[in-house]
Amino acid sequence: MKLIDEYLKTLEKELQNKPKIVSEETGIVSQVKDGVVILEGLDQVAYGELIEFKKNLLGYVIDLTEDEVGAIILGDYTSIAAGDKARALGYTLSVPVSETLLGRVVDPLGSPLDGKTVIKSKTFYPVEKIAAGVVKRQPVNVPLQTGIKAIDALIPIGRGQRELIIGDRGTGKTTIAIDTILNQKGEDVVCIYCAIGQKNSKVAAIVELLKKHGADKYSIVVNASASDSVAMQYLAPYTASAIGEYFMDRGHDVLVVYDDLTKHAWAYRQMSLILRRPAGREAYPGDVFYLHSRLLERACRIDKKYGGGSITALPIIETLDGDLSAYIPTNVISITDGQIFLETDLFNAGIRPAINVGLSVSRVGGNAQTKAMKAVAGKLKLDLAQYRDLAAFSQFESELDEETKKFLNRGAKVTQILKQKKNKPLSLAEQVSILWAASKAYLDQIPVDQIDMFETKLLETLKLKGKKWLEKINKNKIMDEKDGKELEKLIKEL
Amino acid sequence: MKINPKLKKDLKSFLLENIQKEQNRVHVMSADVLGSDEKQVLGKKFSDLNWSQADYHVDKSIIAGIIIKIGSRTVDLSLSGSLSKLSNTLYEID
Repeated sequence: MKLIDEYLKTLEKELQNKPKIVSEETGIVSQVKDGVVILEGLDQVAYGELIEFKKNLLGYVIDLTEDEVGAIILGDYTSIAAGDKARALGYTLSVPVSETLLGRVVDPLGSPLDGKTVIKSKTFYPVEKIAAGVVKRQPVNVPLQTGIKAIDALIPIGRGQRELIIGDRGTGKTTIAIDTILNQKGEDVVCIYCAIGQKNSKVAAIVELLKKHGADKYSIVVNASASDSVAMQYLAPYTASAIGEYFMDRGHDVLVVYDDLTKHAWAYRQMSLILRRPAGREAYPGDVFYLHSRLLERACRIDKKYGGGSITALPIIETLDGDLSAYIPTNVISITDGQIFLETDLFNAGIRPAINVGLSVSRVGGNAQTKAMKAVAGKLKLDLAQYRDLAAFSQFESELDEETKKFLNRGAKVTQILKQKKNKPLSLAEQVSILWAASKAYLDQIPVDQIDMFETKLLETLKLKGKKWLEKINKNKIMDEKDGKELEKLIKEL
Repeated sequence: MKINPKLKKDLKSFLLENIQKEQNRVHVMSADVLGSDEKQVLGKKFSDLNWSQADYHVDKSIIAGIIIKIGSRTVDLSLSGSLSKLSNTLYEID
Protein backbone atom coordinates (compact mmCIF):
# COMPACT_ATOMS: atom_id res chain seq x y z
CA MET A 1 0.00 0.00 0.00
CA LYS A 2 2.80 2.35 0.91
CA LEU A 3 4.30 1.95 -2.54
CA ILE A 4 1.08 2.87 -4.25
CA ASP A 5 0.69 5.92 -2.06
CA GLU A 6 4.15 7.09 -2.94
CA TYR A 7 3.52 6.48 -6.59
CA LEU A 8 0.28 8.47 -6.45
CA LYS A 9 2.09 11.33 -4.78
CA THR A 10 4.75 11.52 -7.47
CA LEU A 11 2.06 11.31 -10.12
CA GLU A 12 0.20 14.18 -8.53
CA LYS A 13 3.36 16.22 -8.40
CA GLU A 14 4.07 15.53 -12.04
CA LEU A 15 0.60 16.57 -13.08
CA GLN A 16 0.81 19.77 -11.10
CA ASN A 17 4.08 20.72 -12.73
CA LYS A 18 3.68 23.97 -14.55
CA PRO A 19 5.44 24.32 -17.89
CA LYS A 20 8.98 25.51 -17.32
CA ILE A 21 9.88 28.74 -18.99
CA VAL A 22 13.26 28.39 -20.64
CA SER A 23 14.78 30.59 -23.25
CA GLU A 24 16.61 28.93 -26.13
CA GLU A 25 19.15 30.09 -28.66
CA THR A 26 17.60 29.80 -32.09
CA GLY A 27 18.67 30.44 -35.62
CA ILE A 28 17.45 30.04 -39.15
CA VAL A 29 19.14 28.08 -41.93
CA SER A 30 20.24 30.42 -44.69
CA GLN A 31 22.34 28.12 -46.88
CA VAL A 32 22.64 24.37 -47.26
CA LYS A 33 25.82 23.06 -48.84
CA ASP A 34 27.35 19.61 -49.16
CA GLY A 35 27.06 18.40 -45.56
CA VAL A 36 27.45 21.91 -44.21
CA VAL A 37 24.80 24.51 -43.36
CA ILE A 38 25.16 28.22 -42.75
CA LEU A 39 22.77 29.70 -40.20
CA GLU A 40 21.69 33.17 -39.18
CA GLY A 41 20.93 34.00 -35.59
CA LEU A 42 22.38 31.77 -32.83
CA ASP A 43 24.21 34.81 -31.45
CA GLN A 44 25.30 33.11 -28.22
CA VAL A 45 26.32 29.73 -29.61
CA ALA A 46 29.78 28.37 -28.76
CA TYR A 47 32.33 26.63 -30.96
CA GLY A 48 31.80 22.89 -30.89
CA GLU A 49 28.26 23.17 -29.56
CA LEU A 50 25.51 20.92 -30.86
CA ILE A 51 22.49 22.39 -32.58
CA GLU A 52 19.26 20.58 -33.28
CA PHE A 53 17.19 20.80 -36.42
CA LYS A 54 13.79 19.26 -36.74
CA LYS A 55 13.37 15.50 -36.30
CA ASN A 56 16.40 14.90 -34.08
CA LEU A 57 18.86 15.89 -36.76
CA LEU A 58 21.97 17.29 -35.12
CA GLY A 59 24.58 19.74 -36.28
CA TYR A 60 28.01 20.54 -34.92
CA VAL A 61 29.20 24.14 -34.91
CA ILE A 62 32.66 24.45 -36.46
CA ASP A 63 32.61 27.93 -37.91
CA LEU A 64 31.73 31.21 -36.22
CA THR A 65 31.95 34.34 -38.30
CA GLU A 66 30.75 37.83 -37.46
CA ASP A 67 27.11 37.28 -38.25
CA GLU A 68 26.84 33.70 -39.42
CA VAL A 69 27.32 30.26 -37.97
CA GLY A 70 28.64 27.28 -39.94
CA ALA A 71 27.74 23.78 -38.80
CA ILE A 72 28.32 20.28 -40.13
CA ILE A 73 25.32 18.00 -40.24
CA LEU A 74 25.54 14.68 -38.43
CA GLY A 75 23.27 12.59 -40.58
CA ASP A 76 21.22 13.11 -43.69
CA TYR A 77 21.53 16.75 -44.67
CA THR A 78 19.19 16.50 -47.64
CA SER A 79 16.10 16.92 -45.46
CA ILE A 80 17.21 20.39 -44.35
CA ALA A 81 15.90 23.34 -46.30
CA ALA A 82 16.71 27.03 -46.18
CA GLY A 83 14.44 28.72 -43.65
CA ASP A 84 14.39 25.77 -41.24
CA LYS A 85 14.69 26.56 -37.59
CA ALA A 86 17.54 25.33 -35.43
CA ARG A 87 18.12 25.55 -31.72
CA ALA A 88 21.30 25.32 -29.70
CA LEU A 89 21.44 22.44 -27.22
CA GLY A 90 24.06 23.97 -24.97
CA TYR A 91 26.42 20.99 -24.84
CA THR A 92 29.23 19.61 -26.97
CA LEU A 93 29.25 16.39 -28.96
CA SER A 94 29.71 13.29 -26.79
CA VAL A 95 29.35 9.59 -27.39
CA PRO A 96 27.87 6.97 -25.06
CA VAL A 97 30.61 4.67 -23.76
CA SER A 98 30.40 1.44 -21.80
CA GLU A 99 31.82 -2.06 -21.67
CA THR A 100 28.96 -3.23 -23.88
CA LEU A 101 30.68 -1.53 -26.82
CA LEU A 102 33.05 -4.49 -27.08
CA GLY A 103 32.25 -6.59 -30.12
CA ARG A 104 30.11 -3.87 -31.68
CA VAL A 105 30.18 -1.87 -34.88
CA VAL A 106 29.16 1.75 -34.35
CA ASP A 107 29.04 4.98 -36.29
CA PRO A 108 30.85 8.15 -35.14
CA LEU A 109 27.86 9.14 -33.00
CA GLY A 110 27.85 5.84 -31.13
CA SER A 111 24.74 4.49 -32.87
CA PRO A 112 24.88 0.80 -33.75
CA LEU A 113 25.60 -0.24 -37.34
CA ASP A 114 25.41 -3.98 -36.72
CA GLY A 115 21.64 -4.21 -36.30
CA LYS A 116 21.90 -4.96 -32.59
CA THR A 117 20.50 -2.95 -29.69
CA VAL A 118 21.21 0.70 -29.03
CA ILE A 119 24.22 1.28 -26.78
CA LYS A 120 22.76 2.42 -23.49
CA SER A 121 25.03 4.18 -21.08
CA LYS A 122 24.97 6.89 -18.49
CA THR A 123 28.57 7.76 -19.24
CA PHE A 124 29.27 10.06 -22.14
CA TYR A 125 32.72 11.05 -23.34
CA PRO A 126 33.35 14.24 -25.30
CA VAL A 127 34.50 13.58 -28.84
CA GLU A 128 37.00 16.44 -28.77
CA LYS A 129 39.21 16.42 -25.71
CA ILE A 130 42.57 17.91 -24.85
CA ALA A 131 45.17 15.16 -24.47
CA ALA A 132 46.66 14.24 -21.10
CA GLY A 133 49.41 16.61 -19.98
CA VAL A 134 53.05 15.99 -19.19
CA VAL A 135 52.53 15.31 -15.50
CA LYS A 136 50.11 12.47 -16.06
CA ARG A 137 52.28 10.66 -18.56
CA GLN A 138 54.89 8.00 -18.25
CA PRO A 139 57.48 6.92 -20.81
CA VAL A 140 56.68 3.99 -23.06
CA ASN A 141 58.25 0.85 -21.60
CA VAL A 142 55.82 -2.04 -22.10
CA PRO A 143 55.82 -3.76 -25.49
CA LEU A 144 52.78 -4.19 -27.67
CA GLN A 145 53.40 -7.45 -29.50
CA THR A 146 52.17 -7.24 -33.07
CA GLY A 147 52.83 -10.90 -33.72
CA ILE A 148 54.71 -9.92 -36.87
CA LYS A 149 58.37 -11.00 -36.77
CA ALA A 150 59.73 -8.12 -38.81
CA ILE A 151 58.01 -5.50 -36.65
CA ASP A 152 58.55 -7.01 -33.22
CA ALA A 153 62.22 -7.61 -33.94
CA LEU A 154 63.25 -4.54 -35.91
CA ILE A 155 60.63 -1.82 -35.33
CA PRO A 156 59.21 -2.68 -31.91
CA ILE A 157 56.07 -0.87 -30.79
CA GLY A 158 55.40 0.03 -27.18
CA ARG A 159 52.11 0.62 -25.41
CA GLY A 160 51.27 4.30 -25.69
CA GLN A 161 53.28 4.77 -28.86
CA ARG A 162 52.07 6.25 -32.12
CA GLU A 163 53.44 4.25 -35.01
CA LEU A 164 52.51 5.23 -38.52
CA ILE A 165 51.86 2.57 -41.15
CA ILE A 166 52.52 4.14 -44.51
CA GLY A 167 52.59 2.81 -48.05
CA ASP A 168 50.92 2.72 -51.45
CA ARG A 169 47.54 1.12 -51.97
CA GLY A 170 47.57 -2.66 -51.86
CA THR A 171 50.81 -3.05 -49.93
CA GLY A 172 49.23 -4.64 -46.87
CA LYS A 173 48.81 -1.67 -44.53
CA THR A 174 45.45 -2.78 -43.18
CA THR A 175 46.70 -6.37 -42.94
CA ILE A 176 49.47 -5.33 -40.55
CA ALA A 177 46.99 -3.42 -38.39
CA ILE A 178 44.47 -6.27 -38.35
CA ASP A 179 47.15 -8.88 -37.60
CA THR A 180 48.17 -6.76 -34.64
CA ILE A 181 44.58 -6.77 -33.41
CA LEU A 182 44.37 -10.55 -33.87
CA ASN A 183 47.56 -10.98 -31.82
CA GLN A 184 46.06 -9.19 -28.80
CA LYS A 185 43.99 -12.23 -27.93
CA GLY A 186 44.24 -12.88 -24.20
CA GLU A 187 46.45 -9.82 -23.68
CA ASP A 188 43.83 -7.57 -22.03
CA VAL A 189 44.17 -4.99 -24.79
CA VAL A 190 41.00 -3.35 -26.07
CA CYS A 191 41.28 -2.86 -29.82
CA ILE A 192 39.44 -0.20 -31.77
CA TYR A 193 39.44 -0.26 -35.55
CA CYS A 194 38.35 3.07 -36.99
CA ALA A 195 37.47 2.97 -40.68
CA ILE A 196 37.41 6.39 -42.34
CA GLY A 197 36.09 6.65 -45.88
CA GLN A 198 36.58 2.94 -46.54
CA LYS A 199 34.42 0.73 -48.70
CA ASN A 200 31.63 -0.83 -46.65
CA SER A 201 32.49 -4.20 -48.22
CA LYS A 202 36.05 -3.98 -46.88
CA VAL A 203 34.83 -3.09 -43.39
CA ALA A 204 32.34 -5.97 -43.49
CA ALA A 205 35.16 -8.35 -44.45
CA ILE A 206 37.27 -7.08 -41.53
CA VAL A 207 34.40 -7.50 -39.06
CA GLU A 208 33.92 -11.03 -40.35
CA LEU A 209 37.63 -11.76 -40.04
CA LEU A 210 37.72 -10.49 -36.45
CA LYS A 211 34.76 -12.68 -35.61
CA LYS A 212 36.33 -15.72 -37.23
CA HIS A 213 39.46 -15.37 -35.09
CA GLY A 214 37.48 -14.63 -31.94
CA ALA A 215 38.91 -11.12 -31.85
CA ASP A 216 35.50 -9.46 -31.76
CA LYS A 217 35.25 -10.02 -28.00
CA TYR A 218 37.84 -7.35 -27.31
CA SER A 219 37.38 -5.18 -30.42
CA ILE A 220 35.21 -2.27 -31.43
CA VAL A 221 34.76 -1.05 -34.99
CA VAL A 222 33.95 2.61 -35.62
CA ASN A 223 32.89 3.06 -39.21
CA ALA A 224 32.31 6.15 -41.33
CA SER A 225 32.29 4.71 -44.81
CA ALA A 226 32.83 6.39 -48.14
CA SER A 227 29.07 6.80 -48.50
CA ASP A 228 28.66 8.63 -45.18
CA SER A 229 28.81 12.40 -45.11
CA VAL A 230 32.20 14.07 -44.75
CA ALA A 231 31.11 15.30 -41.33
CA MET A 232 30.90 11.71 -40.11
CA GLN A 233 34.24 10.85 -41.69
CA TYR A 234 35.76 13.89 -40.02
CA LEU A 235 34.43 12.87 -36.59
CA ALA A 236 35.17 9.12 -36.75
CA PRO A 237 38.78 9.14 -35.45
CA TYR A 238 37.91 11.50 -32.62
CA THR A 239 35.07 9.21 -31.59
CA ALA A 240 37.40 6.20 -31.70
CA SER A 241 39.81 8.14 -29.52
CA ALA A 242 37.04 9.06 -27.06
CA ILE A 243 35.99 5.41 -26.76
CA GLY A 244 39.65 4.50 -26.25
CA GLU A 245 39.94 7.09 -23.49
CA TYR A 246 37.01 5.52 -21.67
CA PHE A 247 38.79 2.17 -21.50
CA MET A 248 42.13 3.83 -20.74
CA ASP A 249 40.61 5.68 -17.79
CA ARG A 250 39.60 2.29 -16.44
CA GLY A 251 43.20 1.12 -16.52
CA HIS A 252 43.04 -0.89 -19.74
CA ASP A 253 45.58 -0.80 -22.51
CA VAL A 254 43.97 0.26 -25.76
CA LEU A 255 45.05 -0.09 -29.38
CA VAL A 256 43.43 2.25 -31.89
CA VAL A 257 43.88 1.83 -35.65
CA TYR A 258 42.97 4.85 -37.80
CA ASP A 259 42.42 3.52 -41.31
CA ASP A 260 43.19 5.86 -42.93
CA LEU A 261 44.11 9.45 -42.15
CA THR A 262 44.63 10.40 -45.79
CA LYS A 263 40.90 10.11 -46.36
CA HIS A 264 40.31 11.93 -43.10
CA ALA A 265 42.37 14.84 -44.39
CA TRP A 266 40.37 14.75 -47.64
CA ALA A 267 37.12 14.92 -45.72
CA TYR A 268 38.39 17.86 -43.70
CA ARG A 269 39.61 19.58 -46.86
CA GLN A 270 36.17 19.26 -48.43
CA MET A 271 34.50 20.69 -45.35
CA SER A 272 36.94 23.56 -45.12
CA LEU A 273 36.58 24.47 -48.79
CA ILE A 274 32.79 24.50 -48.50
CA LEU A 275 33.11 26.74 -45.45
CA ARG A 276 35.29 29.00 -47.60
CA ARG A 277 38.30 28.83 -45.36
CA PRO A 278 41.50 29.93 -47.07
CA ALA A 279 43.17 27.02 -48.83
CA GLY A 280 46.88 26.34 -48.47
CA ARG A 281 49.18 23.75 -49.98
CA GLU A 282 47.33 21.09 -52.02
CA ALA A 283 44.15 23.04 -51.10
CA TYR A 284 44.30 21.77 -47.51
CA PRO A 285 43.35 24.37 -44.90
CA GLY A 286 45.98 25.86 -42.64
CA ASP A 287 45.05 23.77 -39.62
CA VAL A 288 45.39 20.37 -41.26
CA PHE A 289 48.52 19.72 -39.18
CA TYR A 290 46.64 20.45 -35.97
CA LEU A 291 43.83 18.21 -37.23
CA HIS A 292 46.08 15.17 -36.91
CA SER A 293 48.42 16.32 -34.15
CA ARG A 294 45.60 16.84 -31.67
CA LEU A 295 44.20 13.43 -32.57
CA LEU A 296 47.46 11.51 -32.23
CA GLU A 297 48.53 13.43 -29.14
CA ARG A 298 45.66 11.70 -27.36
CA ALA A 299 47.63 8.47 -27.58
CA CYS A 300 49.58 8.21 -24.34
CA ARG A 301 50.67 6.05 -21.47
CA ILE A 302 49.24 7.24 -18.17
CA ASP A 303 51.33 7.09 -15.02
CA LYS A 304 50.38 4.44 -12.47
CA LYS A 305 49.55 7.20 -9.99
CA TYR A 306 46.78 8.36 -12.29
CA GLY A 307 45.33 4.95 -12.98
CA GLY A 308 47.71 3.51 -15.56
CA GLY A 309 46.28 2.52 -18.91
CA SER A 310 47.45 3.54 -22.35
CA ILE A 311 46.33 4.27 -25.87
CA THR A 312 48.55 3.01 -28.67
CA ALA A 313 47.76 4.58 -32.01
CA LEU A 314 48.42 2.97 -35.38
CA PRO A 315 47.48 5.63 -37.93
CA ILE A 316 47.55 4.54 -41.56
CA ILE A 317 48.51 6.83 -44.43
CA GLU A 318 48.21 5.95 -48.08
CA THR A 319 50.88 7.40 -50.35
CA LEU A 320 50.78 7.89 -54.10
CA ASP A 321 53.66 6.21 -55.91
CA GLY A 322 55.69 5.88 -52.72
CA ASP A 323 55.89 9.65 -52.32
CA LEU A 324 56.77 10.24 -48.69
CA SER A 325 57.32 13.95 -49.19
CA ALA A 326 53.70 14.78 -49.99
CA TYR A 327 51.94 17.13 -47.58
CA ILE A 328 49.92 14.78 -45.35
CA PRO A 329 52.55 11.99 -45.16
CA THR A 330 55.29 14.41 -43.99
CA ASN A 331 52.90 15.93 -41.46
CA VAL A 332 51.94 12.62 -39.92
CA ILE A 333 55.50 11.25 -40.05
CA SER A 334 56.63 14.21 -37.96
CA ILE A 335 53.77 13.79 -35.49
CA THR A 336 54.21 10.07 -34.87
CA ASP A 337 56.95 8.20 -32.97
CA GLY A 338 58.13 6.32 -36.03
CA GLN A 339 56.81 4.70 -39.16
CA ILE A 340 56.49 1.35 -40.87
CA PHE A 341 57.10 1.95 -44.55
CA LEU A 342 55.61 -0.57 -46.98
CA GLU A 343 56.80 -0.77 -50.57
CA THR A 344 55.09 -2.01 -53.71
CA ASP A 345 58.34 -3.41 -55.13
CA LEU A 346 58.96 -5.54 -52.06
CA PHE A 347 55.35 -6.65 -52.05
CA ASN A 348 55.56 -7.76 -55.67
CA ALA A 349 58.88 -9.51 -55.01
CA GLY A 350 57.04 -11.71 -52.55
CA ILE A 351 58.45 -10.16 -49.40
CA ARG A 352 55.34 -9.91 -47.26
CA PRO A 353 54.87 -7.98 -45.03
CA ALA A 354 56.51 -5.61 -47.51
CA ILE A 355 58.33 -3.60 -44.87
CA ASN A 356 61.25 -1.49 -45.99
CA VAL A 357 63.48 -2.14 -43.00
CA GLY A 358 65.84 0.68 -43.87
CA LEU A 359 63.26 3.47 -43.96
CA SER A 360 61.12 2.18 -41.09
CA VAL A 361 61.93 3.34 -37.59
CA SER A 362 60.48 3.20 -34.13
CA ARG A 363 61.67 6.13 -32.04
CA VAL A 364 60.56 4.98 -28.60
CA GLY A 365 59.73 1.31 -29.00
CA GLY A 366 63.31 0.13 -28.39
CA ASN A 367 62.93 0.78 -24.67
CA ALA A 368 59.84 -1.38 -24.65
CA GLN A 369 61.31 -4.41 -26.40
CA THR A 370 61.44 -7.56 -24.29
CA LYS A 371 64.85 -8.86 -23.21
CA ALA A 372 64.35 -12.11 -25.07
CA MET A 373 63.69 -10.27 -28.33
CA LYS A 374 66.44 -7.72 -27.76
CA ALA A 375 68.95 -10.54 -27.42
CA VAL A 376 68.20 -11.95 -30.87
CA ALA A 377 67.17 -8.77 -32.70
CA GLY A 378 70.43 -6.89 -32.23
CA LYS A 379 72.40 -9.35 -34.34
CA LEU A 380 69.60 -9.47 -36.89
CA LYS A 381 69.66 -5.72 -37.44
CA LEU A 382 73.39 -5.76 -38.01
CA ASP A 383 73.15 -8.66 -40.46
CA LEU A 384 70.45 -6.91 -42.45
CA ALA A 385 72.24 -3.57 -42.54
CA GLN A 386 75.43 -5.24 -43.84
CA TYR A 387 73.39 -7.19 -46.37
CA ARG A 388 71.75 -4.04 -47.70
CA ASP A 389 75.11 -2.34 -48.14
CA LEU A 390 76.63 -5.30 -49.92
CA ALA A 391 73.62 -6.36 -51.98
CA ALA A 392 73.63 -3.19 -54.05
CA PHE A 393 77.40 -3.25 -54.39
CA SER A 394 77.78 -6.92 -55.25
CA GLN A 395 75.58 -6.72 -58.32
CA PHE A 396 78.50 -5.24 -60.26
CA GLU A 397 81.14 -7.56 -58.85
CA SER A 398 81.43 -11.03 -60.26
CA GLU A 399 84.09 -12.38 -57.96
CA LEU A 400 83.39 -12.04 -54.30
CA ASP A 401 85.52 -13.06 -51.39
CA GLU A 402 84.33 -15.64 -48.87
CA GLU A 403 83.47 -13.09 -46.19
CA THR A 404 81.20 -11.11 -48.52
CA LYS A 405 79.51 -14.24 -49.73
CA LYS A 406 78.80 -15.19 -46.16
CA PHE A 407 77.17 -11.86 -45.45
CA LEU A 408 75.08 -12.05 -48.61
CA ASN A 409 73.97 -15.57 -47.78
CA ARG A 410 73.08 -14.62 -44.20
CA GLY A 411 71.15 -11.53 -45.38
CA ALA A 412 69.14 -13.50 -47.89
CA LYS A 413 68.21 -16.02 -45.20
CA VAL A 414 67.24 -13.33 -42.72
CA THR A 415 65.11 -11.58 -45.32
CA GLN A 416 63.46 -14.90 -46.02
CA ILE A 417 62.82 -15.59 -42.35
CA LEU A 418 61.14 -12.23 -41.86
CA LYS A 419 58.44 -13.14 -44.35
CA GLN A 420 55.16 -14.07 -42.74
CA LYS A 421 51.74 -15.16 -43.99
CA LYS A 422 48.87 -12.82 -43.26
CA ASN A 423 46.50 -13.36 -40.33
CA LYS A 424 49.02 -15.70 -38.71
CA PRO A 425 50.52 -13.76 -35.83
CA LEU A 426 53.21 -15.55 -33.84
CA SER A 427 53.72 -15.51 -30.09
CA LEU A 428 56.86 -13.98 -28.60
CA ALA A 429 58.49 -17.36 -27.95
CA GLU A 430 57.80 -18.59 -31.48
CA GLN A 431 59.32 -15.44 -32.94
CA VAL A 432 62.34 -15.65 -30.66
CA SER A 433 62.98 -19.28 -31.55
CA ILE A 434 63.03 -18.64 -35.29
CA LEU A 435 65.08 -15.47 -35.07
CA TRP A 436 67.50 -17.15 -32.69
CA ALA A 437 68.04 -19.91 -35.22
CA ALA A 438 68.74 -17.30 -37.89
CA SER A 439 71.13 -15.29 -35.75
CA LYS A 440 73.08 -18.42 -34.73
CA ALA A 441 73.72 -19.34 -38.35
CA TYR A 442 71.58 -22.48 -38.36
CA LEU A 443 69.95 -21.33 -41.57
CA ASP A 444 73.14 -20.72 -43.51
CA GLN A 445 73.27 -24.28 -44.83
CA ILE A 446 69.59 -24.43 -45.80
CA PRO A 447 68.63 -23.34 -49.34
CA VAL A 448 66.42 -20.23 -49.50
CA ASP A 449 63.39 -22.06 -50.86
CA GLN A 450 63.44 -24.50 -47.96
CA ILE A 451 63.54 -21.89 -45.20
CA ASP A 452 59.76 -21.76 -45.10
CA MET A 453 59.65 -25.52 -44.53
CA PHE A 454 62.30 -25.28 -41.80
CA GLU A 455 60.19 -22.65 -40.02
CA THR A 456 57.02 -24.73 -40.11
CA LYS A 457 58.91 -27.78 -38.92
CA LEU A 458 60.55 -25.87 -36.08
CA LEU A 459 57.22 -24.45 -34.90
CA GLU A 460 55.60 -27.87 -35.04
CA THR A 461 58.40 -29.48 -33.07
CA LEU A 462 58.25 -26.71 -30.52
CA LYS A 463 54.54 -27.24 -30.11
CA LEU A 464 55.03 -30.98 -29.67
CA LYS A 465 58.21 -31.25 -27.63
CA GLY A 466 58.98 -27.74 -26.48
CA LYS A 467 55.71 -26.68 -24.99
CA LYS A 468 57.32 -25.93 -21.65
CA TRP A 469 60.01 -23.90 -23.34
CA LEU A 470 57.44 -21.81 -25.22
CA GLU A 471 55.43 -21.18 -22.08
CA LYS A 472 58.52 -20.22 -20.11
CA ILE A 473 59.72 -17.67 -22.67
CA ASN A 474 56.24 -16.21 -23.12
CA LYS A 475 55.90 -15.81 -19.38
CA ASN A 476 59.34 -14.55 -18.37
CA LYS A 477 60.11 -12.76 -21.63
CA ILE A 478 63.78 -13.52 -21.00
CA MET A 479 65.98 -16.02 -22.83
CA ASP A 480 69.11 -17.11 -21.00
CA GLU A 481 71.91 -19.49 -21.97
CA LYS A 482 70.09 -22.52 -20.65
CA ASP A 483 67.07 -21.75 -22.83
CA GLY A 484 69.40 -21.32 -25.76
CA LYS A 485 70.92 -24.73 -25.20
CA GLU A 486 67.51 -26.32 -24.95
CA LEU A 487 66.45 -24.71 -28.22
CA GLU A 488 69.70 -25.77 -29.86
CA LYS A 489 68.98 -29.35 -28.94
CA LEU A 490 65.53 -29.16 -30.53
CA ILE A 491 66.83 -27.56 -33.70
CA LYS A 492 69.55 -30.17 -34.09
CA GLU A 493 66.92 -32.88 -33.87
CA LEU A 494 65.14 -31.53 -36.93
CA MET B 1 31.51 72.72 -45.32
CA LYS B 2 32.83 71.04 -42.23
CA ILE B 3 30.71 68.89 -40.00
CA ASN B 4 31.04 69.40 -36.32
CA PRO B 5 32.88 66.30 -34.93
CA LYS B 6 30.54 66.26 -31.95
CA LEU B 7 27.61 65.93 -34.31
CA LYS B 8 29.29 63.03 -36.05
CA LYS B 9 29.87 61.29 -32.75
CA ASP B 10 26.31 61.85 -31.63
CA LEU B 11 24.92 60.50 -34.88
CA LYS B 12 27.05 57.41 -34.59
CA SER B 13 25.99 56.67 -31.03
CA PHE B 14 22.37 57.32 -31.96
CA LEU B 15 22.54 54.82 -34.80
CA LEU B 16 24.32 52.26 -32.61
CA GLU B 17 21.66 52.66 -29.96
CA ASN B 18 18.98 52.18 -32.60
CA ILE B 19 20.60 48.94 -33.78
CA GLN B 20 20.86 47.73 -30.20
CA LYS B 21 17.24 48.53 -29.58
CA GLU B 22 16.26 46.72 -32.74
CA GLN B 23 18.24 43.70 -31.59
CA ASN B 24 16.67 43.73 -28.17
CA ARG B 25 13.17 44.32 -29.48
CA VAL B 26 10.64 41.85 -28.17
CA HIS B 27 8.70 39.89 -30.77
CA VAL B 28 5.62 38.04 -29.63
CA MET B 29 3.95 35.42 -31.80
CA SER B 30 0.53 34.17 -30.92
CA ALA B 31 -2.18 32.15 -32.59
CA ASP B 32 -4.74 34.93 -32.11
CA VAL B 33 -4.62 38.66 -31.61
CA LEU B 34 -3.75 39.38 -27.98
CA GLY B 35 -6.05 41.59 -25.92
CA SER B 36 -4.67 44.33 -23.69
CA ASP B 37 -5.32 42.29 -20.54
CA GLU B 38 -3.29 39.43 -21.95
CA LYS B 39 -0.49 41.83 -22.82
CA GLN B 40 -0.57 43.09 -19.25
CA VAL B 41 -0.20 39.57 -17.90
CA LEU B 42 2.79 39.06 -20.19
CA GLY B 43 4.35 42.31 -18.98
CA LYS B 44 4.01 41.17 -15.39
CA LYS B 45 5.34 37.69 -16.00
CA PHE B 46 8.41 38.84 -17.95
CA SER B 47 9.00 42.10 -16.15
CA ASP B 48 12.68 42.21 -17.11
CA LEU B 49 11.87 42.68 -20.79
CA ASN B 50 11.23 45.99 -22.49
CA TRP B 51 7.59 45.85 -23.52
CA SER B 52 7.20 49.40 -24.72
CA GLN B 53 8.60 48.57 -28.17
CA ALA B 54 7.15 45.06 -28.45
CA ASP B 55 6.05 43.69 -31.82
CA TYR B 56 3.01 41.44 -31.98
CA HIS B 57 2.49 38.93 -34.78
CA VAL B 58 -0.28 36.44 -35.41
CA ASP B 59 0.67 32.96 -36.66
CA LYS B 60 -2.04 30.32 -36.81
CA SER B 61 0.48 27.48 -37.19
CA ILE B 62 1.50 27.60 -33.53
CA ILE B 63 -2.05 26.43 -32.65
CA ALA B 64 -2.15 28.00 -29.18
CA GLY B 65 0.08 29.80 -26.70
CA ILE B 66 2.83 32.26 -27.49
CA ILE B 67 6.44 32.40 -28.65
CA ILE B 68 8.58 35.28 -27.42
CA LYS B 69 11.73 36.24 -29.32
CA ILE B 70 14.46 38.65 -28.28
CA GLY B 71 17.29 38.66 -30.80
CA SER B 72 18.29 35.03 -31.23
CA ARG B 73 16.88 33.99 -27.88
CA THR B 74 13.52 32.30 -27.99
CA VAL B 75 11.02 31.32 -25.33
CA ASP B 76 8.66 28.74 -26.76
CA LEU B 77 5.38 28.50 -24.85
CA SER B 78 3.28 27.30 -27.74
CA LEU B 79 1.28 24.13 -28.22
CA SER B 80 3.05 23.29 -31.48
CA GLY B 81 6.41 23.53 -29.71
CA SER B 82 5.34 21.22 -26.91
CA LEU B 83 3.93 18.76 -29.42
CA SER B 84 7.16 18.63 -31.40
CA LYS B 85 9.08 18.15 -28.15
CA LEU B 86 6.77 15.28 -27.28
CA SER B 87 7.24 13.67 -30.68
CA ASN B 88 11.03 13.94 -30.24
CA THR B 89 10.81 12.28 -26.83
CA LEU B 90 8.71 9.47 -28.25
CA TYR B 91 11.20 9.01 -31.07
CA GLU B 92 14.06 8.72 -28.60
CA ILE B 93 12.23 6.16 -26.46
CA ASP B 94 11.62 3.96 -29.47
